[in-house]
Amino acid sequence: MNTTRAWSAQQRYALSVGSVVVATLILTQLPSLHETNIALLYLLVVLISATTVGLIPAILASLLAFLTLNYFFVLPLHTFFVSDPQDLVRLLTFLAVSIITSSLAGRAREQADTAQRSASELTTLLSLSQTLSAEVTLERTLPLVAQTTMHVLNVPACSVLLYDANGRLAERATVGAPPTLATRNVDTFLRIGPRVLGVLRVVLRSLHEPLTRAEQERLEAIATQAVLVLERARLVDEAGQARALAESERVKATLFSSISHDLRTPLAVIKGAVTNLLDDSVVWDPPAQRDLLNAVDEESDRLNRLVGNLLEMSRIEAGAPYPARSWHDIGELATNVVARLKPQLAGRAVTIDLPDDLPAVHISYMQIDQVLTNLLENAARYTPAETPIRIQTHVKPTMIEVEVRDWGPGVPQGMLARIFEKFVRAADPERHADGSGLGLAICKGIIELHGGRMWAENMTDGGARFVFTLPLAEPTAGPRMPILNEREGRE
Amino acid sequence: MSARILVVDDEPQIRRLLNTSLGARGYDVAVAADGPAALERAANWRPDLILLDLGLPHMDGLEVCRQVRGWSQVPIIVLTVRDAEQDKVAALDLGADDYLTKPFGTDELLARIRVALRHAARSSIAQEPVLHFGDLVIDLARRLVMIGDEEIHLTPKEYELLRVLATQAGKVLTHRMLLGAVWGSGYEQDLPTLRVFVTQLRRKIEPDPAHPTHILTEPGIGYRFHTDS
Repeated sequence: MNTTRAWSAQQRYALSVGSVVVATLILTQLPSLHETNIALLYLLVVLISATTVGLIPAILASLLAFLTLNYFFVLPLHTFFVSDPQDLVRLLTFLAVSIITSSLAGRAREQADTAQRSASELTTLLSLSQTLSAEVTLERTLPLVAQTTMHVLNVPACSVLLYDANGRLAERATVGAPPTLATRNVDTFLRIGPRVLGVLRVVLRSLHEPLTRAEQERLEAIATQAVLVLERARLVDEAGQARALAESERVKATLFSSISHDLRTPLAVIKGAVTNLLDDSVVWDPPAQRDLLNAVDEESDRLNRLVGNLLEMSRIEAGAPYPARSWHDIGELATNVVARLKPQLAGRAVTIDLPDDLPAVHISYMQIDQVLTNLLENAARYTPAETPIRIQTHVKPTMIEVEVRDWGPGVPQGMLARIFEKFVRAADPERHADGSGLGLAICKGIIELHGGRMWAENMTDGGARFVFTLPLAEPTAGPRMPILNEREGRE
Repeated sequence: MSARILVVDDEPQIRRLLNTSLGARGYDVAVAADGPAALERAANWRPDLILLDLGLPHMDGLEVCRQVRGWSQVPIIVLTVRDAEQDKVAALDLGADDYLTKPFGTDELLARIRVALRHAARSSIAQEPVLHFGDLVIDLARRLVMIGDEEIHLTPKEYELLRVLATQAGKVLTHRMLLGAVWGSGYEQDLPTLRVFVTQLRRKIEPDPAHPTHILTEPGIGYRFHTDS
């Protein structure tokens, strides 16, 4: 494509001189031609060299051709002396024609080159803008900008610098050779209106070769592209933040409406029952009276449980110091819990499956008791009354795994991860009367305070298992794990 | 025949309590635990009044309200634990007659039920031409307002506002409903105008405008014309 640019200056001069020399050698070997024909052949050579190697070498070729023509073919031969004035006219005319044609051809050649170069740069810029529009993150777009700049301007290195949050200019992308000692940089501001976002910095080819006007224009064009990229990245970023904020607001609103509902419902029942009993206009028979009082009793308990859970939850979230821990046997704990929950588990086959060599774990007995109680109560609540429940433990190299397995309907799809969130009930929106929606969130919090993990799985042969792990080694400083996931909008 | 009341609430304890409370007062009670069941009961059992919890599973209480209003003018009293005023306003705008915030006393619930039932009974027969509220008399046929024997002069807009409130006495009317009814569509957001007219009206018909007994303010929601229940 770009022949003149591909050849160095020396090569171009060598080519133009060489073509004249070769032509002279051939012409001197040929049977003698008429002087005019020889002049025409020289003209052809000069013209060809003008179209291929450019203007200045072509003029050199013209002069050389003029001299060789004079020396080898014009009488008297082998001197630069011209005897016949006619020959002198011919020679000078040849020189003039040769220079004019070669300069015309050379200029045409250069214009063609320039046009081709602009076309190629336009293509590069276009492909840059297309590539950039497909990318969003600055980590990917900025190196592309620098790369293209380096390529289009044919400079050794280019970098993109942006102002960070503290107003300091920081390098975000660099391509090309690192600048050696004696270089000059040209900075182009990346600005939108009066606001300067950063700088597009190119390292010049040499100290003494400034950018041409055309190159500066190209630099500006690339800078404009870069500003668009920066603006888009900022907008994408802001949109993301706005979404996160809205999501966090939504979660908070849900949380409040949930707490409000859970606290006020038992209160509504209590107040309703009491105001019924206080109403003198109605005479309540003893069973109805008992019924109302039972409602007050049950709802007070429910309210108490809920308040207790809320306090427990805030305690865990605030990272309150955990109750004293010591070495306990999980098997013994499980047996005690099952024995205590006999009323709720009535009629069910509950098996406790323990390996013989179950090691002791360093736990707060009360808290793990609470976790297991909660899991068993849930199993009793959410599975049909006749289905079995199994507690099983597995010893792993660094921990023991405790699972509560049921053969109920399983956890609804999409709820497996969410049921550990606050105020999310498996049976939601079928709000279960007893559920505070906090039980599993508290369990998970307790287990994580112990350095373990907790999760739930649906089993292929029906039912679900709730699993928690406890580390076998004594945790050095009870790692405080985040209890809330991002959904709950915690900073 | 005793009035039929449909109780719609997802909490079994609340359903049980309301069943007991209303049953003991001689009402005929049916219960529904969710939106679809409520619509089915409302259509087939034809209750005289619906107590509707706003936070329902499967279908929001507001949606139940909207659908019932599509074919029935049965009085609806909304029960809510939500603090958000906008839910109550939305329910009232959709045609609910009144609201109660949980927890509520039985006496208050019964009073609201009586008002709603009476209002429904009154609007189902031809509108009485003369309304009496204590000393206040509103003669709808002659567009006359009197306190005792003294005639009160009202501007046309003031009279219209009073008429809208008084003919739906006992019912909570949202700002939006009042502005729409008196000033027409396009003025529903013009809260300051409504406030000014209510103040003027109170000055003319209330014995003590600072402590109104006829036009009661429902904070953040609207106004209610008081009837002795």
